[in-house]
Amino acid sequence: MNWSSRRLKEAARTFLVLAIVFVSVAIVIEVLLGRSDSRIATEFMLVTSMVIAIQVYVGNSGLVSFGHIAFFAIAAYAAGLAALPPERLASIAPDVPAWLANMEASLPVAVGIAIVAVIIFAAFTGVPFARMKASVVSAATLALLVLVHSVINLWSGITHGPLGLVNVPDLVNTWVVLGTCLIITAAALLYRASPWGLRLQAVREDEVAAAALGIPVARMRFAGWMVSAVLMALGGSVWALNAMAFAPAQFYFTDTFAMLSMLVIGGLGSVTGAVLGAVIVTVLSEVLRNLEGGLAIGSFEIPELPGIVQMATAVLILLILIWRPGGLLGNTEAGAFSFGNLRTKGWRR
Amino acid sequence: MSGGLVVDSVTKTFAGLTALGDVSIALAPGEILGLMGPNGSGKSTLVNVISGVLTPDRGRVIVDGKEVTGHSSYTIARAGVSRSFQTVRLFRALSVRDNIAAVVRGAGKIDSQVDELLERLRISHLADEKAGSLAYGLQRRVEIARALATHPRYLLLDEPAAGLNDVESDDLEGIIRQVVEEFGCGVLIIDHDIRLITRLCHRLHVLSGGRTLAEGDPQIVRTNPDVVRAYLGEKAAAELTKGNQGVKPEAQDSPIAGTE
Repeated sequence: MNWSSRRLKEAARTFLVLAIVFVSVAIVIEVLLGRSDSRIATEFMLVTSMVIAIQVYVGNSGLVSFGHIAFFAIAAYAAGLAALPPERLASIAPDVPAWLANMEASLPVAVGIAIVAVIIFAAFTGVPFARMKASVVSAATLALLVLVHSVINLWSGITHGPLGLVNVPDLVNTWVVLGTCLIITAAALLYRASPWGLRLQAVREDEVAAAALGIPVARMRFAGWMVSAVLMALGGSVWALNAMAFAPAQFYFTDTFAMLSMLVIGGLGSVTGAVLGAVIVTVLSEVLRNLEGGLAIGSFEIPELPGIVQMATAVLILLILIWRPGGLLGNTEAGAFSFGNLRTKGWRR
Repeated sequence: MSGGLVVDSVTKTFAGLTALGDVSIALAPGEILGLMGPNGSGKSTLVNVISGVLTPDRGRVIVDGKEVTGHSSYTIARAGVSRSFQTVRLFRALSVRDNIAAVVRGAGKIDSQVDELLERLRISHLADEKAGSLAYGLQRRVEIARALATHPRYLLLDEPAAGLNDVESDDLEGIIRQVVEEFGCGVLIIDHDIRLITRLCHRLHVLSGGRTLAEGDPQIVRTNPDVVRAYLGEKAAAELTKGNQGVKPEAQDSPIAGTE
């Protein structure tokens, strides 16, 4: 397969910019933040990396997927079950098969199991999905999300039902989180720059023309789906080992909405956009969450506003879709601007 | 048999309406074949059948001896057939360069292959522009560059001159000649511009109502009374058969030249 060195260089520049962002956040966490704040910050980094994983499929294929949260859930549970010690598992999930229950896996093994589980699940769903008409794929992924959520909720012998997994060992520190972010970012950028990524983008732009010019449409969609799923599994499993406790409710519409909103706001078409969207939505949520309980500024009182976070995010999405349908950055990566470009093109208006 | 793109007695109907009725054509490498006919005569349907966008009801499509009837457009493209579209279908949000890079196939560095094509079609200066933002005539040119990037043996051009001004149209003519010379591929070109078509094509094939009306040497086909009738109506055909020189190909503002 034939790689474009021009596209690789752009990817490398973008990686440099995003790596600086992630490394800075990690250093701030280590140096400045206390234990509880640092968990919020590492969670932000992992959510961002999962938004990047979603971007790999949604951004390059142009097909909106609600199913990635299902990958997230499967990865989190697989990693959690693998890492939990057998005596704790016996009390909350007695039906877990012995080989998995007795594993008490280390970080790499737990992540590996999560990735394998997601690969199997994604491969089964990916084949029919890749052949579907673009207009129905989103509905199919929605069904996938509901299906996986229901199974996790009901299969209490394995998943502890609606109560979820608790006391999952904390196998993750800030540097592991940073490494995960960097790997996912690099992989997403590499895929975007690859011939497969470019061809999937061509399919996104015009499926008929792409096929008539020799691009295997279904195969390219399947490849994007699988790469995206693996990265989601990596992010999701590390998230689970960082969160230590989680329940099925956390892998449903609220999270799907939050992650997709980050992607839509930042710009579906670029990895940089995914990161920018994650930053904007997270900052917005944190600011507004303080308002939810009500606030008094001098004599001016803001009443309690439960649900304001989602409402504000929804309004922001609508405004972005009306004025900048491609999101804030559209298809533009940070690395599209090199010093060479600036010299030749100048800062023209 | 081997060599050539062969369409053998192809029939295609849409809800009882015959879009193509028993049409046969053959295109050899290095040849330029003009496909003409009034609107709705089945030209685009034929191109869509050849390129696998549509499946024929009857008949065969054969590329270099390999039957590809009813295969996916992807398979047919891989067999060596490339095309442009009547309404331009570029990858609009991608740069001109990436439009070509996405479909490039062949040995050698991808970047240098793309640069070479851009240069040959004289669009190097547009490489980093977004394809969807270009002027229409330039989009047509990018579409041809993109079609060539697959290294086709046969190139189907569906009205490449539609919407072009005279200068652009002359330019296009030069490009198509150059393509045939340098790439050695066979070109099937649909166009209404009879001046362009007669200058450019080695042979003409005229469709009307989905059936072959005439085929052969451009000069002869152009003065064929049936062809004139199909394009200009009874009166013109009658004048032609009366021995009047009839319709001159130079008649640029005639309906033949101007439609669509």
